[in-house]
Formats: sequence, structure tokens, C-alpha cells
Amino acid sequence: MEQPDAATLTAIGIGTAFGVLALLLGSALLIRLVSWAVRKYTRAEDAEADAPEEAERTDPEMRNRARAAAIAVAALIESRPHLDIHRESDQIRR
Amino acid sequence: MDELLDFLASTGFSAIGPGEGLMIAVGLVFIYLAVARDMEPYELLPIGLGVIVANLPLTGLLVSPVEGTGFQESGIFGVIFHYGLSFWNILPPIIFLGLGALTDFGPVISNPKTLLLGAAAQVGIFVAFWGALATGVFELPEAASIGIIGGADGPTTIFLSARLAPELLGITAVIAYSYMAAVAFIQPPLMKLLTTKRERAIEMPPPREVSRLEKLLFPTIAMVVIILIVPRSAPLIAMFMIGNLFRESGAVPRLTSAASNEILNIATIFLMLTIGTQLSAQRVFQLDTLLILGLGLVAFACGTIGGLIFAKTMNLFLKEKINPLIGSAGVSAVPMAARISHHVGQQSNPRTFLLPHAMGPNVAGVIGSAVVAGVFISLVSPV
Repeated sequence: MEQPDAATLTAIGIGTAFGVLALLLGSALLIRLVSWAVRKYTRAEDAEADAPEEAERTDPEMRNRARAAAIAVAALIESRPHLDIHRESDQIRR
Repeated sequence: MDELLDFLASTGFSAIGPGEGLMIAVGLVFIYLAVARDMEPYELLPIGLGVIVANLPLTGLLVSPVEGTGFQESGIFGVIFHYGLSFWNILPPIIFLGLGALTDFGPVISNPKTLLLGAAAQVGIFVAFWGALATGVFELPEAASIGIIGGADGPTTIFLSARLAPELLGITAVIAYSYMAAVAFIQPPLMKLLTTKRERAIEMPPPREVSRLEKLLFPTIAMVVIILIVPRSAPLIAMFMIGNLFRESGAVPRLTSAASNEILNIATIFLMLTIGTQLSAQRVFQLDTLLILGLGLVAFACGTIGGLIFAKTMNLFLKEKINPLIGSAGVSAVPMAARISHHVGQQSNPRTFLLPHAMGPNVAGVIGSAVVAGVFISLVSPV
């Protein structure tokens, strides 16, 4: 192999160093975008995955309300013994 | 009586000369600097010991497998030099595996424009390269080996010298490590000379936190891109990135630990001892050595200047200014050069915290010098 000219070697050497590191600069920016997009996507997925949990969290609340309503109804029936919803006549009346 | 005389003639005393004596003193100085002054101890201590051993006569330790082809004629350092460096050249890439496992690309990824500072600081390589050619003493491959000292990266210097000019290997490696140890004396005067107090006091916001995905993607993409452009840099770049991916994957802590501890340490012992053994009196006491010593200093200084001036130039176009002191860290010399940027910055403004910012150009300098070494290997034929 014939030895290259020193000036050419210098130009190629400096040019390659700058070129490679500039490409890595571009890659780092691109990677940042990809990482941001992936994080955004995974956050949206997490939010979706969290949604049923939210519903589950409101379920006990609904259950408590229903229980409270049932207790209230039971208390009302106890306080007014003439109102027997299980009575056949009442059922017919309703 | 004859047996006694024969025995005396076979001792080292009969063959030791003033040159060897002086080199043993040089070895002791290296050991002193490493032990008492804590200057690059992991390099200078084994190098110093290697120098002493190499200059003790009649040991046969340096006989290579090419010269000593008979039964047990080769010496341990001759074998390591031959297979580890001049013939296979595998020790520097093994060192790079360990360095990769110790490197954090976070600062580079969080502020990627600092990569360009790592490229600018490679100017020192080419100034020394031209200086070596201008002396008329060195051929092109030797000038390339001398120039790479400006990369301030020991394994890269050794890798290129072993390939292009093995006869200069010991000298270039020792000079590179010596100046790396002395970077605290070389850089600060230039940094203060080329920057104003106001520039040195520039505060930079803390770098953003980098995600794990970014830390995994960057070395992978960098490895592919660099090796595609400069395939001859692959031994260094591939091993560096593989070591880094061990680390960042988090999946192989034992491999990361082995690469950054046991493997790196074992390779360092053999590499540095062998480098030391290349410093024999016959090789060192020559005009070439003095010239390389001077050119190495020029290379370090010009690399520092290149990084500083490029950082100042970047500031002309940047809305958010960077502290130009981080430019000098582009010469590699990891992590000393980054620490020096930090300390000089703090002298001007105690509120500046440049260390994480300077690590960006510092790591970029390692990549930049490996790329330049790859270009030299691609285009220059060995001596």
C-alpha cells in the first residue's frame, strides 16, 4: 500500500473525527426523541391499565352507598311495622 | 577457580553499563512518582518496575518467540509483547472493554453538543503529526504514532504504535502516560490564558436525567455507526461499547464487574509491565526520544487549545452558553482532564459545577482518538 499524502491524511482524519462525532450528536438527539415517544406511549398504556383499577376503587364506594341505602330502608321498615313489603297484599297493591 | 570466574562472568554485574544504571534510576523515579506523588500509580508503578527489570542484563526476559525459537528460549515479557501487542495487539482492546464498563454516557447523551468538543481536541494529534514529519527524522507511520500521543489515551496510543511503529511503542506509551499524569500542570495555564474570568465563571444548569433506554440505545448505535465508517477502529470501539452495554443492561452484573475489575486489572498489569520493559537504555538514549518528548507536550497543549477555542466558538452561536473550560476535557485523559476543568472553573466562581458537563467531551475525546487511530491504521502502512 502506498503511503498517503500527509495533508490528505490530516483532512481525512479531522474530517472523520468531526463527522463521526456529529453523527453521534444527531443519534443522541434522535434517541432522545425515541425515548420520549416510548415514555409517552408507555404512560398512556399505564393510564389505560390504571382505568379498571379506578373503577375498582369506586366499587367499594358504590357498595357502601348500596349498603347504606339498604340499612336505611331496613330501618324505615322496622320503624313502620305496618309496611311489610313481603306481604302479598302489598305486593299486589304495588 | 575457572568455574568461579565463569560464574562471575555470567552475573549481571559483568554486563551492566552506565546506560542501564541510568535507566534503573529512571524506573525508580517512576516508582517514586506513583507511590509518593500518586501520579497515575496504576500505570507508572508497573512501568517503573518493568524499566528496572528490562535493564538488568542477561535475563533473557525480553527474548521474543520470533528470536528465541528453541526450547524455553523466549522470555515472559518477550512473549507478552509479541502476542499481546506487536503480533496480535489484543491487550489494548481488552483494556477498552474494562474502560467501557466503567464509562457513563449520561453526560454525553444529556448534552450531545459536547461531543464536538471531543473532536476539536483531536487537533493536537495532527499538530504533533506534522511536527514529527517536519523534523525529517520520522517516517509517516512513526509520525502517526507520535501524533496519537495528543489523543491523551494510553491504550489507543499503544494500539496504534504497536501496529504502525512497534519500535516506538515503549517511548510513545510512557510519554503519553507521563503527560496524562502531568495534565494538572499542562492544562491550567493554557485554560487561564485563553479564557476570560467571566467566561470561566459561566454557570451551567445541571444535566438532565437520562433514561435507561437512551443509555442502552446510544452505545449500540454509536458502535454500529463508528465501525461502519471506520472499520479499523473496531477492536477499540467494539470492546468499549460492549463493556458499556454490559454495564447499562443491568442484566449481567458479574460480567460488568469482571470487565471493570479483574480483566481490566490483569490486562493493566501485563500491558504496563511490558511497556516498561520496552524502555531499554539503547532505545531511550537517542535523539528521537527527546524529539518525541517535545512533540508529545506540543500535542497535549494543542489538544487543550483546540478544545478551548472550539468551545468559545460554539458560544458565539449558542443561546445558552457553555463554560469554555469544558473544552479542554476533550483531550481524553479520563477523568483527570474533566476534574481540572471543574477545579479551574471553581477558582473563578465557586458556584460553577463543571464536572458532569466536562465528562461529556472527556468521553467524546476517547471516541475521537480511537476514530483517528482507526483512520491512521486504514490509510498508513506499518514501518
